[in-house]
Amino acid sequence: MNYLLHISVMLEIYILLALSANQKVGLSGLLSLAQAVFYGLGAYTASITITKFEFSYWLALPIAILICVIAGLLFSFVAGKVRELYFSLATLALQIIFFSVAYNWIPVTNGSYGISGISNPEIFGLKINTPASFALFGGVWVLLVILFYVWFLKTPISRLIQATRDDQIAVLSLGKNPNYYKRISIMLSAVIAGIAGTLYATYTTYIDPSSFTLDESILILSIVLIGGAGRIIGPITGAVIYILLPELLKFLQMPDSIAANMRMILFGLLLVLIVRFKPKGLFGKYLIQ
Amino acid sequence: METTIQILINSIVSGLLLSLVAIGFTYIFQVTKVFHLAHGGIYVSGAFACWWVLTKTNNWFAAIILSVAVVAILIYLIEKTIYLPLTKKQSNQSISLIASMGLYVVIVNVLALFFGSENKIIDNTVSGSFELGNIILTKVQAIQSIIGVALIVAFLIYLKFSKSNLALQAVSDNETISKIFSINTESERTKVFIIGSILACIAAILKTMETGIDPQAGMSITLTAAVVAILVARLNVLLIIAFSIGLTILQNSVEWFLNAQWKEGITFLILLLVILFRTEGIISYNLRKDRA
Amino acid sequence: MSEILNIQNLNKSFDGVAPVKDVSFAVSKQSITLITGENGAGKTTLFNLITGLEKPTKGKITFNGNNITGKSALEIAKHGIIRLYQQPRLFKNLLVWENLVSATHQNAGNSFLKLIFKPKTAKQEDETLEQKALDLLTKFDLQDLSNKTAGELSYGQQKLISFCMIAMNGTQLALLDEPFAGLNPQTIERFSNMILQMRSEGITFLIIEHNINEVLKVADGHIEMKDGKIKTINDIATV
Repeated sequence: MNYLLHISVMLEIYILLALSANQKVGLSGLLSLAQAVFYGLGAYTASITITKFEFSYWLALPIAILICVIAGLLFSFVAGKVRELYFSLATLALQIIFFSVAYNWIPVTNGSYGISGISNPEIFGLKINTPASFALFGGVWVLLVILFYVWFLKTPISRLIQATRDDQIAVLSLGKNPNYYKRISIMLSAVIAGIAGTLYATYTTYIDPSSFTLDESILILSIVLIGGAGRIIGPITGAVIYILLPELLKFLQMPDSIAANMRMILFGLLLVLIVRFKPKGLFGKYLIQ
Repeated sequence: METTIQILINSIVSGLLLSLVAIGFTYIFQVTKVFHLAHGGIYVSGAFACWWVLTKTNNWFAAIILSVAVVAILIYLIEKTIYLPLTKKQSNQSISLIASMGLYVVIVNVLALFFGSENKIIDNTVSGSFELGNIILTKVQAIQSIIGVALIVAFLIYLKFSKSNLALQAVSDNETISKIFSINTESERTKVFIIGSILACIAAILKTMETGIDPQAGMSITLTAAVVAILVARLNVLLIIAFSIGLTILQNSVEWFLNAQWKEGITFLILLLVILFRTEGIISYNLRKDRA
Repeated sequence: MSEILNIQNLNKSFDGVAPVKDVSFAVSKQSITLITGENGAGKTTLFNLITGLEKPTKGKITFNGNNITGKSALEIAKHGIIRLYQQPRLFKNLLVWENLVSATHQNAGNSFLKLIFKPKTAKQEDETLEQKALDLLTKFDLQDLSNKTAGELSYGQQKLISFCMIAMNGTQLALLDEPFAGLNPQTIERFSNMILQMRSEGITFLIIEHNINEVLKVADGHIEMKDGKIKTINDIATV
């Protein structure tokens, strides 16, 4: 039962990550390889403020969000300057630089030893420290973000964000600044990934740089591309596939030693096949090409 | 002083191996426009094939022939089933980048599945070294340098005498011209992929003689090669060698004087700065697109 | 009639080529001016200069009394100058009415902060604009397209819709680049009527077109360019 709840919490975190990446990939058409940077910023900010300054989760959270907003703002200058392949490469570079800093800036991040003893969140004096309560807590976050998108996707600005994705010169010639819409989109995406990071840190109570690598960013992007970019359902489907794949392999009686590699093989293969044969993903709205 | 010279010597030798990977990467990128990160998968596949044959037969000749055959077949299949169809669909380059990452993940995990993720050492290698005072050049390093240089010369000769040199120049300078003369044929692409992969394969085998190989080993060297490809931005073999060695010297100095883990951060900081300052803004980009 | 656009001694040169040389002319409000000339006569560069995609080497462009020479494309578009390209540029994954509403400026929900802090106003304004878009489509008998994705429209339909975006945008001066190219006679007819109707509502037009006769039916002025210079200016209204 506890195991099942653990899977649920991980699924919730990956749904949030996938929705955050979808904001960038699906709504803005920016193939970013740095989503784990914002995930990591959220996780590290929460961990450091909670362990070093003994902040509560509810104080750490807005600080993490603020840091992600600022990082998103800086990041959006990159998006305003370069496009397509060079945007992806610039984000790849940012991802690797972030990992380098997290790994080496020992006074702050404790390097490869990581930060441990991160306390669980509390709500109305109740500590969220059991898998069941955390699954509920994460579930509330997922619900909030989904409700946000149900509303947001109908707003004028989300249409303009998508318009910028479709043809930014046309947006410009209508007298609107395409960079503004990219900036808003990237900041929103950063905040949601940051929230996922604070959840991850306070759930596992321990983080180290290995959770925020280039591989992680590739994985998050793959989840969105496989599920399909643009709609809410796509990224959620992608996250479900990624989290449930190992359970399926277990069900097929595959030994653990093989299962980890098998999961990545199947997932990588799925990514290649989707890109090659079904570029909209399973439930995508927007064709990435 | 001696430390500095030693770092310099080591950097030149491993920079030479990097340049083999980078030449292949740039050749492929410039001709096919595919940002081929699965090059890292090709790299480790070649090294594993060589290691595997050596554990069975102890025959270096057979090992090298087989590993070259393995990478050639592998890249042929990848090109025909993935890259070529994607190019025909006129997907943008980010999409082939992502396909190539997916391929990389598959290759690495297949290798780990069959051979395990631990480092594999080649037993039947050369030991000993040449020493001058405290400065050491191992015999393996000597072999790496000789074969590396020989391979680069062979590649230059190939470029000079094959028609593909002309084709390449046409393709990278002006896509329209190459389309008019229909130079960028599918067989041209295949050749380019195979030659690039063989260079990576030999580099991987040479590196494995020294440090062994694990499934993940290809990513870091391929990313560095990609940085060289972006920095040089054209197929100029001598420039690629110079940048590869320069970058390796920088990395090794960082590793020696700071910390091993900063080296990738610094390499990619350079890449980021170059990307941000050399690429055009959106308006000039669209103007150029409209005029074309 | 009052003057809306005034161009004085406009020059553009680069690398020893001068696609636009000493071009001067003025356009009055609510007029339709046809610009013709062979390929390479400098028509497209002229449009690029007016809309700020390229910067003039010399000369002055005045719009509604404001000097807009050398301003960025975004600033110039904000002044109310819009350019329609030969290939219609719609947002192909958005619905037709969403395309139209996206062209508007007076929509609080276009700004993230206003959307968050004044959600009610934003919602109301958006609904009003949606209705306005529907009315506009109905006026031009295009209401059936409203809920289609822009990407699934035919070429002619896309051109008509992109033309409707001018009306939504609060445009004062519209630059049309070969609006009739690739259209069948019925659609051209429809398009001409739309141009006339919009002019009566206050929009001024500059039109590049090879299909001279069709435009001359509605045009007030005709500028012919050759080798970057103005060859003739005809003010049809005065002729």
